[in-house]
Amino acid sequence: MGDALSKEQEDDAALVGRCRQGDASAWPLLVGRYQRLVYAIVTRMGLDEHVAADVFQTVFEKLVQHLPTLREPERLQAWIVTTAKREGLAARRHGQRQVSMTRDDDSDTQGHAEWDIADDSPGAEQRLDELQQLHRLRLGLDRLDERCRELLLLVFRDDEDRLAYDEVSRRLNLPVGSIGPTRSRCLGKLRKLLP
Amino acid sequence: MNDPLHPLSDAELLARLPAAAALPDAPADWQRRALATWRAPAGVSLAQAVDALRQRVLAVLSFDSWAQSALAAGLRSTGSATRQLVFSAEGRDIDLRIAPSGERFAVKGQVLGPDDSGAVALTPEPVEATVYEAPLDALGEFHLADVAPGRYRLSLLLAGHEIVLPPFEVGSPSKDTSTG
Repeated sequence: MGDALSKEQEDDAALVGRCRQGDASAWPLLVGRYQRLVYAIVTRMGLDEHVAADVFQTVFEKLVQHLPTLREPERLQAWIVTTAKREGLAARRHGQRQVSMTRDDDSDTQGHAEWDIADDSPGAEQRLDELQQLHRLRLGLDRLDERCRELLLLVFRDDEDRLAYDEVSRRLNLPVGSIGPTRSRCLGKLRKLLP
Repeated sequence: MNDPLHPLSDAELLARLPAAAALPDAPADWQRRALATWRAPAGVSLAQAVDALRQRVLAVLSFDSWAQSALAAGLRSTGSATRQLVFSAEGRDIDLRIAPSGERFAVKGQVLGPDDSGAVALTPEPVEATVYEAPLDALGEFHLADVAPGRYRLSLLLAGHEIVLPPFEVGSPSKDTSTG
């Protein structure tokens, strides 16, 4: 993992440290970093939308409460994931109305049964691990320069959307022969930026 | 136990790119509520937290009810005991009401504008040990009770920045009511 993981450890630990000192400007950075992951978790637990919103809120409320006493700030993500899952399961056990989420803009959650993590089965744990990998990858993508991000997302689309290199070349104003080497360089950059 | 952040091979990484890029943000109102949960840890006073902020903006006075009353002094002999001050900064209006409360004063207010959470600190000038602090409620309102007469500076501690009002007097109309 080396340098990339060290950087993420430093960033989370540094943000937690600033929050502990009362630096209010660090809090929006923490919320911004983890809102997507917490949202992904709470919307895959078979919760009513309002209950999911409450669980989302509870996770961040508990984070604020526990900031002074987190034993391993560098493992903040693990703490957040554990808390989100625990609070979501608690909400289900308390008999909240269980209605599948049907947000129109939630384009990546088609087939909620496939993504259900509302139990402690090995399958659910695996899906939770997958979400964390996607989140980690997304953080890296967000840190990548726009040109590399655009190239990687154009070249590595889903099968049905895949573009010919001629089209990629046209859209990026890049010679076809340069796409391969540039793609490799961008992939290397992305790896270094992964938390 | 599998490490959820184990290194991905190139193939694994590339296969996940579209799904990673498509991960949606939480709804804006969910994020706002999460931002609003912030409070400085116990043992860290608001004054210390204010010092740690990076962006500080000075508000501008846009209305003073006693200045208006002074203009109308030739027409009316009495003015309201409650003084209203309105300040503006960063797309927000800060509406202050200073009212007598026994021998002291109540300073109530409301921050009108973007839906931010935060808190206020009323600091005497020159700076003394006593600082009055209060959180903003869901409507952006705050209430500082039992404030001694004197000259003060009000700071709004919002997520990411601080808005500072020019100094103003908390007192009765017979005293100096200058601001700034």
